[in-house]
Amino acid sequence: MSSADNSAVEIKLRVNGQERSLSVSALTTLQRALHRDLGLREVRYGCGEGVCGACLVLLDGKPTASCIKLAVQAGGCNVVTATALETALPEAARERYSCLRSNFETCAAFQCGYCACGFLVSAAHFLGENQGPVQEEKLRTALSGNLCRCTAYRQIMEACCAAAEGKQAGDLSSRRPDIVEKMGADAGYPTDRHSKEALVGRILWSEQPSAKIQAIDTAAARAVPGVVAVLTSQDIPGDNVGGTMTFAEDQPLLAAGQVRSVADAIALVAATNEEAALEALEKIAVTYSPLPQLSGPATARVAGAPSLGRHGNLVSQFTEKAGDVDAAFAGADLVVEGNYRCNSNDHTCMELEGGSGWMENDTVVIELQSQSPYGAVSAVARQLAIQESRVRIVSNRMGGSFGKYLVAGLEGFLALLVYKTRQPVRLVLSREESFARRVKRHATFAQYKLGVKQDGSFTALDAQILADAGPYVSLTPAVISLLTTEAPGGYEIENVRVDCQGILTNNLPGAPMRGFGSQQANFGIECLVDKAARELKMDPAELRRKNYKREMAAGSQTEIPNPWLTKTMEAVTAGLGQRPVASDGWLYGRGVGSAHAKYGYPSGLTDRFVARLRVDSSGQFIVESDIADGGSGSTRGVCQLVARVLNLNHLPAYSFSQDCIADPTGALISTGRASSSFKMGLFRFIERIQTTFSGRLHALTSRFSPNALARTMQWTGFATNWFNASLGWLKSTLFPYSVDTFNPRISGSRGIFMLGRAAQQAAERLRELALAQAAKSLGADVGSLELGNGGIFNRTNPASRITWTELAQQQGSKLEAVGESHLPKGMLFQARTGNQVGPVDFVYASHGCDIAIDPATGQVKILHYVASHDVGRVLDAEAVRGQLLGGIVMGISQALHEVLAVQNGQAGIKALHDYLIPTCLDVPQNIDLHILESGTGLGPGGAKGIGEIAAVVAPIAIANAVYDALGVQPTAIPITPEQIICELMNRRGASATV
Amino acid sequence: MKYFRPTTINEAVTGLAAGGLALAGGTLLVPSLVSQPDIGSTLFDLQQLSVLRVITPEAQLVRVGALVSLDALHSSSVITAEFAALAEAALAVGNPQVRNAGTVGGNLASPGTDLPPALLVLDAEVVEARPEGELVQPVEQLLANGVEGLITEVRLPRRSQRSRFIKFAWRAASGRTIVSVAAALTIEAGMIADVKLACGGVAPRPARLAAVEQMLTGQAPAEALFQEAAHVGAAEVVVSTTQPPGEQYRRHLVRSGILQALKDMTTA
Repeated sequence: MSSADNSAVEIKLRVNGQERSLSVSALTTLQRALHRDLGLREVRYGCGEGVCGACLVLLDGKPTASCIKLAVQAGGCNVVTATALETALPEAARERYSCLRSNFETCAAFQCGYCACGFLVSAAHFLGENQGPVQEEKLRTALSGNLCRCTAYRQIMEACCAAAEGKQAGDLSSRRPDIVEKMGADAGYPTDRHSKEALVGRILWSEQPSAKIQAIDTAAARAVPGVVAVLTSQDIPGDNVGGTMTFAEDQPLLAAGQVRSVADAIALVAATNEEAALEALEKIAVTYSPLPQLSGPATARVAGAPSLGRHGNLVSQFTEKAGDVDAAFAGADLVVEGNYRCNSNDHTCMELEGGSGWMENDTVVIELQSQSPYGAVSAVARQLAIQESRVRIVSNRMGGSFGKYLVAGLEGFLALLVYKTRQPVRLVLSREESFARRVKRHATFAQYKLGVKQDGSFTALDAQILADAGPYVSLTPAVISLLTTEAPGGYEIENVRVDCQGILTNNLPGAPMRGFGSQQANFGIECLVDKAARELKMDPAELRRKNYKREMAAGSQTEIPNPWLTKTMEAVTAGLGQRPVASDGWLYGRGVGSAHAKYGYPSGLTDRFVARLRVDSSGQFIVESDIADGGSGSTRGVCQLVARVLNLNHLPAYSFSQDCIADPTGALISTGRASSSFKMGLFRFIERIQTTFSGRLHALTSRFSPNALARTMQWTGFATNWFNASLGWLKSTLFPYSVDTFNPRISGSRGIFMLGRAAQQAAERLRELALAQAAKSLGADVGSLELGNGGIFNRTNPASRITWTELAQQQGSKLEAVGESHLPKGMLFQARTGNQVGPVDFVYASHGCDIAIDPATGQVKILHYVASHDVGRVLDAEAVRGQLLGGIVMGISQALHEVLAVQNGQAGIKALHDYLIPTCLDVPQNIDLHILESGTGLGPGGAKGIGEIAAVVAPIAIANAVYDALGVQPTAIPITPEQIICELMNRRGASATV
Repeated sequence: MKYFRPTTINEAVTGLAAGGLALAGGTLLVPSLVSQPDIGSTLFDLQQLSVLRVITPEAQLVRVGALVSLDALHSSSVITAEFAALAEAALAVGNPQVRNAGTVGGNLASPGTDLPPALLVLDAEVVEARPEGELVQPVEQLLANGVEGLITEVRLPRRSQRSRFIKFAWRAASGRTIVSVAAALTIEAGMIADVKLACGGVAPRPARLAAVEQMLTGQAPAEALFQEAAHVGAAEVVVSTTQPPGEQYRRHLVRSGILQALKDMTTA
């Protein structure tokens, strides 16, 4: 086989048993040929380096990374993708494979599921060659080419081990429809759409972290054959505003005149093919003249530093003051101090950021990842100067989010390209762009001081925290506000002074990530508590228990430390047991940590969620809402909740509904008819006032000095909250199923908490409706009826029964009910300080671990890890386990491995090969979970949102264990083996000179 | 870019001499082709040359074809039994899918990978097919001169030696090599008769550690001697890479690797 010239190569290959012919360029990868040209959506793309395994196929029977294989290399070969694996297996292994698929479901092995098809390929190949009890190490090695960002690989391993022995690993009645979809071609991730007709979109990013743009010349780029459009800020029909506009409109969609970070987009290209698009990017000539660069918050806040924002570099500042801090320090027996730093992290969602856009008549449709679809709609409408009703954002499912898509994504770029070219456009970033050009978790720099009495009680805390916001305001005020509120951790401290500032720099833009500031806040205080314990010669666990926030003991007038927090720490201490004995020259250490962290996005007021439950004419239950599958598995827990209320023997399906997004007044989802334009206008008007008086005020505060801020809040705070509460009441009375479009949807572990309650209400309403209907139908009293066995039956005469299918048909397929939930009444601001309040519910957790440091390499080996969490109530045991284990592994990895190496405004890491999210050979194998159910959560049945908390605590347990092992406190995460060896070398050097 | 699948070695050699690019497993070449499509004009995909996909043990040496995959290499019984360092190095590369595709020849053409240090200490010779004829040269020479023709075979002399390959990376699979140490050792009458050590990861290509080899030869294996050797090796190695982690840490790992390798090879 050969190609004569530069033209396409004709290849023949056998794909899933069928002979296929393809015409490809010599440089087309096999992944692209299978995914784009043959439409095999199960062959996903995650890195282009052969590292992540999302694109695995069997090529002549061997697991092969199709992203680093050319399609022409596969000519004449036999390709099997994840959807046809049973055909590639020997007869004897097929039953094991079928077991594997159902085990993956019942174990809830996957969360976002983007990696699922890759795992199927590796695991099926393993099962083809292995039967009976599995050697775990061998299985781990076989799966080590598949990266999963969500889980700890444990449920995946369990499913494989059971399958190898032909065993079912879980309860078959709790099958998970979402996992079935994720193991196949119809999962519907935004980057799945890949038609040949779509133009290829590309972004020209700034080469400079800080510069004036003197000129942009696009003439040569536009002349490249195949290029359809080259767009700059001049081409934006509406406002050149981009980014997240909740608090400020300081970020342009496309840079005009100035660039403030290498994450600034300067121009967009659309071309008929990838090569032309890349060539065009290279031919856009941008003339820069460099400006001084602000490399960190410390330099950006000094007087005289160049100003990035309109009002200097202070994004916002929050303070918390209680008692007389100076007097308390003066009276303390011991004052401990420390400087602690959390470096930034990348979210590393396995699905790359991006999607597609197209025109449908006059409507711009954009399909991509978003946790804030309403915000995306209104931003695009402003950018294009069109009505919001002409913009549709589709975001049903995403391959991981972790907070990344709370801030604005690529919707503005895609929309502009689609609108200008009137053609479908696909724009998906590369892994390198994802690392080098997109948002990162806020890096924080904290100075802490703690006053302690001889008996160990904490009396005073002073915390000065700086957060690196990057070049724009974005969601930083909200993160800062929570950092401030959580700075004292889970401790009762009478005298507190916290000052927290978000500072603009020329680094990569800051964004929330799993914890929304909690991880950074906790790291500081928990390090400091361990330092105090060491100086007091007290057990760190005991010192914590002594100082936990106090509350009234049930049925008495005495105050006791938070009993659930105490129980988590007791479970950890008991779980760890005896310390391991050091014997081999390794350095052993034990560390513990706690968190008392908020969850459920604390935007107080009326934050509302709506769910619709319906039964179709075949008796299938469908839960619908505007909450996408962000990857946490919470939509599944919601379905289980509904099944419980209605005593169903199978799980309802979950379906993302565009009805809410299309009509945020809630009329469409509740009545089937959209609101009139008058009602819609009224709704928008109320929301406009709401956002003006809440969000904007937040940003305004950055203009004032701290004192003026406090004064402003004192004067306006009460009024604002009162005013906003009234507006919320008005809005929810006029529009009972409306949502707050200025709030994100999936955020802050509140999926179960908010959507769960809405779905529960819908289920309870449907139950009443169905019972009434059944009573009429069966001629029985409602009181004698019971739900179960696929319908409703008479308790005294079970033969008298009506099925759900019959009920639905009787209702003319209109058996449905709508439920809503909203946050309990709260306030957006604390009048005195300006801090966000209304984090209405808290989760409690403690972690502990024993580690050993290898003196040969400086690597930290986790010998035993114990985590105890109060989850309120377990709704879906496998989902809770998966979230907690996955969070722990992410937290450990951020504490030890995920070095982003930001320097001069640029990330030093550009490939998944170098950003060390763990493989299944790297995760600790002995993580014990102790799950407590206090029943005190505000979610359904007392449940709490637990998506973030494990990742919040894990870094602390690790850092404190390293402290214990070395005798020197690590003051920053990640803690690298190199730092540990340097510390040991310095020590050896110092002792040698003594 | 043109694409061609030669069916004979001659065809491949002629094509490469005319400026073509040799494509074997593609694990290293394909990602770079995707990002810089203009690095060549014709791809010569070698997959049809199945004669290069065999491991042939002979009396004095084992011939390893250039297209033998890393997976096949570390699963080969003769390689694991007699050339442990090579099997370990093959297993240290990437992850299962990369080892399934990656080849011995491809790794030799990229001196920064894990196989070259192991081949150095095993005294391997490399056979290269060139238009003017076959060239057999020590692997050291090939690494220094670069590949001009087509690598067809690696020849491993069979000796009663022990060998070891140790890789330091911060991730167990798909980990970038920070330091690697390869070592081979022959003990006669309780004395170290022959020893070779090489270090990878610290410079564009691996290098032998001559001073350590010299100080060890003729000595009786002992912990104190190994400690000293590790120290000398860490000082001797030339660290030229400027990527993090830093030089001091890399030297520390070299020391740890030498010590570990020597200990492993002298315990049962």
